[in-house]
Amino acid sequence: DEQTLPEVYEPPALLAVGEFTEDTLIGFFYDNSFFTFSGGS
Amino acid sequence: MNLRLRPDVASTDTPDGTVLLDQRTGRYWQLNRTGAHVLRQLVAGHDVDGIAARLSARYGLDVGQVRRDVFDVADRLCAAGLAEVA
Repeated sequence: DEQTLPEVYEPPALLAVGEFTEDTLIGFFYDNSFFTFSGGS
Repeated sequence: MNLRLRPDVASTDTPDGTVLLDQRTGRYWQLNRTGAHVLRQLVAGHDVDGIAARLSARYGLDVGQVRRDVFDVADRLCAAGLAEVA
C-alpha cells in the first residue's frame, strides 16, 4: 500500500526481466529470499 | 480505466515492487514500487485521476505529469499482455 511507496517519487516503471525456459516454467530467489507466485492459471 | 491482470499472469511482491510472470510466454517483468502501487490501485477499481491526485499530493508534483506517468505504465502493462481493461 502507500506505506511501501518510495520517499522520493519514482515514476511507475515496468521492466522486462527475463524468461523462464521450458524446464523451469513456482518461485524464484530475490535478495536471498525465496518468493512464490500467486494467481495465474 | 480499471485494469485486471490476465488470467495466466502470476504475481508476487518483492522489496522493490512486484514481479509478474506471464505463464503463456515464460517472460517475467518487474514493476518498481510506484508501478506496483499503481497496478494495485487500478485493479482495486480506483481511477487514474484519483491515483494521480493522491500521488501528486504526496510528492508535491504536478498532477498532469503524474497522470501521464500512470497512464504510461497502464499502457505498458496492456501492451505487454500482462493486463487488460476490466
